[in-house]
Amino acid sequence: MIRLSQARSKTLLAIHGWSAVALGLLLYAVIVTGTLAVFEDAIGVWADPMPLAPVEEIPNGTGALMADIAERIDAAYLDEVFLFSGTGEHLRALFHYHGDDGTEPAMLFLIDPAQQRVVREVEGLSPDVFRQLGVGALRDFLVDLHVNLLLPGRWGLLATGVLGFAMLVAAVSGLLIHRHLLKELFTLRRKGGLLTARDRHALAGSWNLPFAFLLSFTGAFFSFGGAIGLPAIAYVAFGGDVETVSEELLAPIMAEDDRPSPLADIDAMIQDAARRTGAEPSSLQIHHWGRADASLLVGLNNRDGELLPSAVAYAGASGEFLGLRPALGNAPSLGGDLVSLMSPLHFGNFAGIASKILWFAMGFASAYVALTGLMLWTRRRQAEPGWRWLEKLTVIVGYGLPLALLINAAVYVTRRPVPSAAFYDLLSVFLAAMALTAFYGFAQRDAARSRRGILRAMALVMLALPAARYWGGGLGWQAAISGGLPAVLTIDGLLLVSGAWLLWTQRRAPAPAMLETESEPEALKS
Amino acid sequence: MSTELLAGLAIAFSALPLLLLAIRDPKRLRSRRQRSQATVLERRCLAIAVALPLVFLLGNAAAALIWLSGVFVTGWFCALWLATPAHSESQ
Repeated sequence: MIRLSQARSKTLLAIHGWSAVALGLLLYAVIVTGTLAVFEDAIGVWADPMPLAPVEEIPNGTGALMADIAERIDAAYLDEVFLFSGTGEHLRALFHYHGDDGTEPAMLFLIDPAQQRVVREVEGLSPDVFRQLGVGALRDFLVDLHVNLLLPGRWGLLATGVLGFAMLVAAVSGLLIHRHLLKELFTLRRKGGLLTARDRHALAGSWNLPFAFLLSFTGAFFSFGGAIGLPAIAYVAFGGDVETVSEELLAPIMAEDDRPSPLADIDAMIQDAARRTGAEPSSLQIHHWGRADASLLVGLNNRDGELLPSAVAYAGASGEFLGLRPALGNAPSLGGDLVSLMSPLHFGNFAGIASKILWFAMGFASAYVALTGLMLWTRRRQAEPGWRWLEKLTVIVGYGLPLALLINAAVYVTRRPVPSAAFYDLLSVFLAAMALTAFYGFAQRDAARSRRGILRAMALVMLALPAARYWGGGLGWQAAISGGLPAVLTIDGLLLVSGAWLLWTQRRAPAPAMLETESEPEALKS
Repeated sequence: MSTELLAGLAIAFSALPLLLLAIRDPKRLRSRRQRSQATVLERRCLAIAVALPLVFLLGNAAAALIWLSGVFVTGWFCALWLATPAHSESQ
């Protein structure tokens, strides 16, 4: 039990509540999209399946395909080349360079690794090229909403970083004001109304507390690391030169040598990395392709039982193995290990489907805590007309956001081939769906009625999605199974079951526990 | 043994004492106007039993993290399940 004076408890309760009121709905949006993004790979396979799943993430022959691409494009793009997983088990290859004016001219290629061919290519400025690719826009939209809240430039990262800290503040203040946290770990009083709602909120928050810390801290690190951390280090130690800081911290050190030299066999280096480490290669970075100081970095999935992903470096021109490459600098360090740890702890991608399911559950709990917390706040102020708008807005965002994302998915899967402007189309559809939901929500007499209507709409879209996907030109269940793509069947099944369950629970009009109108228990008024 | 299997077994091992802790939790029972017969020593032993698998997972960080998150999710679900009307009536 944490002993606090009554005045201090009230102050902490105010901090807990007002931080949530100010930022809670945006935080909820970040949490919901992050929770769904845990399964971004499966969503990608469902939305953009290839006819046949590749046996390996980067199969043998991919290097040769990269070399073919390199031969036919402007040599300037060979300055920095990244190969990483794209949507639906595709690969994405980004060839780009840093212009003097601060822009990053780039060519982005979508590769089918199973058939070893380029599916699409786009030329433009990075990161805009990702939005012009079309294929994968559904997954990218979800991730962009989570990472940037769709805001341009660094504003998005700053916003989500602040939200990460807001979540930390809410978790710490929640821990302090919930004085009987351990004693009430299993207590859920079913008297209805505010007391039950408060218990549900506290219960989910208590069990999820360690992961709320973990996810908010690592999330804030990812947002602020790039947006503020690097510029701050650059300002203090490198005279504001962010480029040099990145080179010092992230790139393998190869002595500067701009004489032309062909790149060694990429496939051989990838196979060598897999053989030496026993881990599966998952990404590739090539710097200064075509020069004597070229370097190649092979990113590797974690080996069974390990948390930290690793990478091995090669001299690009000779193919010489340079050794294991830490996340920071050139020598292993605690700082490098801590930075490497951020990724598995935030994404839950360190142990296949098992860790992803649990991270999804923890994300769901966090979203539940954020939404029920806001509903508690508005419920306690139900008698004050000035707060009713927030009660309605909470329902609109709380349930309208998943509805808008579902509508986005329906629009995306019914348009084959995927248009190159798909990302911007999804943005328009999303904003229109949110606006319509807001119009509907504010037009309703009360929040409970609005919630019921939105949930019914969600149920109908969920039930319609598998058929829409199939009629839109997507894979059938039999083809998905024979192609080694069980994610298609699994997500269709989950949508059908969830939709049917939602429709069943909303078939009548019971007043939801959170939105019941009854007097507030005396115990909660203080 | 794979990480997933190891973590799954550890979660299953912890789930039973966790459920017993939840069923015999004094605050939960008091809120239902029932009395708990569990002593402090008994509850402490159950808590230790919940945490015991961690000893065997110390060499496998991934399995330890999965176990930890699995125990938290199981605890949350236990509390929700024991509060369902159907379960309340059967008690």
